[in-house]
Amino acid sequence: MARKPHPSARKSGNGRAPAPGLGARVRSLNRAAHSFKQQVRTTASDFGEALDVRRRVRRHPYAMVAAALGVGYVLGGGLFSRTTVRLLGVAGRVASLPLLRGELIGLAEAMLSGSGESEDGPTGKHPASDVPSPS
Amino acid sequence: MDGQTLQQTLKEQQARLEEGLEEARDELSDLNERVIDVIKRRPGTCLLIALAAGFLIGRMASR
Repeated sequence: MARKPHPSARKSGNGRAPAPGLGARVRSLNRAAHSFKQQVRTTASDFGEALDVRRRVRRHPYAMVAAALGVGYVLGGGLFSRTTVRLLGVAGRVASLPLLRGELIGLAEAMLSGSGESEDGPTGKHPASDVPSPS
Repeated sequence: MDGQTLQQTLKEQQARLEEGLEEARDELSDLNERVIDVIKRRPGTCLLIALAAGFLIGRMASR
C-alpha cells in the first residue's frame, strides 16, 4: 500500500511553492555568517595595514600611547567636562611659558643695551667713530 | 666651624648630591628604555590598556 504524500510537501498553506527545510536554512545562515566573518577579518586587516599601527608605535611609542589615552578619554565622555577645561588651562599656561621667557629675555636685553647706550650719554660719541676707517 | 671646614663640608655634600642625581638619572633612563621596549614588543596590548585607562578617566571626569 503506497503512502499518500503529506499535503504540505507539495504546497504550503498559502498555495505557494514549498518552503526550504530547517536544515537548508541553517546551512544558508551558516554560510552568510562565515562570509560576514571573512569580510570583517579582511576589512580589519586592511584597516590595520592602512594605519600601520605597529610601525607608528615603534617610531613614536609614547605619542601613540598618549593618543590612545586621549581617544579613550573622549570615548569615556570626558571631553565636555570641567576637568578638560582645567587641563586645557594648565596646558595653555605651560605652552605659553617658553614664549613668555623669550619675551622677557628680549625685554631684559633691550633694557640692558638701552642702559649701556645711555651711559655714553645722548651726545656721547661712540669710541669707534673717532677712529678713521682704513679704506 | 671655620671657613675652610665649611667649604669642605659643602663640597662633600655637593659631590654626594651629584652622585645621587647621576644614579637617579641612570635609573630613569633604564626605566624609560624598558617601558619603550615593552610598548614595542606588545603594541596592541599597550594601546588597548591606554584606551581603557583613558575611557575610565573620561568616565570619572564626566561625573
